[in-house]
Amino acid sequence: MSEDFLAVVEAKRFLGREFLTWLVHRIEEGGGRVEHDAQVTEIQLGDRIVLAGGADDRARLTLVDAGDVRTEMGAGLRRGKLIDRARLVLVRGERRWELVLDGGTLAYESVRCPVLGERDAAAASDPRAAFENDLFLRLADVDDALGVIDALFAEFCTLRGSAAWQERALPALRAWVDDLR
Amino acid sequence: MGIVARSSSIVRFVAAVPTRFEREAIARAVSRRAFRALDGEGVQAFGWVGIHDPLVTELTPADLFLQDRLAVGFRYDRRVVPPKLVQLERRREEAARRAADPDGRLGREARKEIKVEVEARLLLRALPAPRLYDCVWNLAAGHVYFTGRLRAAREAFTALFRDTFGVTPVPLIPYLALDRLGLPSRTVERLRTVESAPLAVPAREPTVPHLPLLEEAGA
Repeated sequence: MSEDFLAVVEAKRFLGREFLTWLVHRIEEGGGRVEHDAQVTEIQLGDRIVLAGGADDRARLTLVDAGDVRTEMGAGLRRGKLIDRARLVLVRGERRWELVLDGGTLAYESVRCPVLGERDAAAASDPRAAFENDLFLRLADVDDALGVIDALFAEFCTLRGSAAWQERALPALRAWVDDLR
Repeated sequence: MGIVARSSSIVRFVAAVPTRFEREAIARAVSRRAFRALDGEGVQAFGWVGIHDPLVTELTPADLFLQDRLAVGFRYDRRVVPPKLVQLERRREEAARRAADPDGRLGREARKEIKVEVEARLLLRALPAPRLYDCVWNLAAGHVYFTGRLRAAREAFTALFRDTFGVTPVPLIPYLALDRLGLPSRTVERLRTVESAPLAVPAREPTVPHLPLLEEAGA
């Protein structure tokens, strides 16, 4: 990895963190429904959030709780941190995904996809065919979940690059942060 | 952990498929860079293995290509010495040197030298710890899923991928993802130059009343 590339990663890390903060705000304000590929997915906030600051603020704030962490999250955001990682739950009908999104790098940890369905008869008796069957299904599940996150990132970027960001979105985010007490 | 596992990590890379991409040749290139176990002195070893079976290192197109994807395993072995063992062996070696020295003292440089020697000696005796990851290259979309987040393994993977396929996979960080969202080019250009927007509401002006001292003094 070149020094230049690493410098870009570091300098622009905030973009992904802003996205994740905006996404959590969207979920918290009741906007967790996303339509992607003609399917509606409900996104919920999971039980783990990590906030991080910029280059001059190395302290990270990790919130792990099934309960209400809005007060602590608000305190971190008001100190200038952004959401760096968050566990997200994606629900579509009876199908459920869980993942930890690293906003700074758009990488995914602890990705848990819906339970694989029944294997067909041919696959059941052939381990190699069974593995390929499972791999296909799993890749489709991963594509599905990441496609939803990508659609949300595109929505954020469209907003972030428009006048509506300064006029409406940023003031709404700031008001939300101020209210998290 | 692999993609099929109940839980896995996924890092995405961008890797456009080269114009010359012949499946038999690719399978030969992968097999040439298949995993080979560590020799006597190496600290790490890595290479391709079958995604369906990590013991398979002779890979054919049928082992690699699944419709429009290339799926292959990546094995990364590294010798690691437990830090506690290094610490204990250092103490033993330092005590032995002190006993052999009439002064019974060891300088900073000597202690540093002992540390390097002890680590190198123990490393050769340590068993390598194997790690297995999956690499799935979507040839139509030009992106790669890699299931490892360990930095050393990711760097080894990037180098091996480049050597094998002639393409350097670039991590899909938010800044680079902008190009793949289908946004208008003006929006992308604007986003490339945006600065971080502070979310904390600026501190309010203090509400303590100021006495009009100057006015009074002038009056």
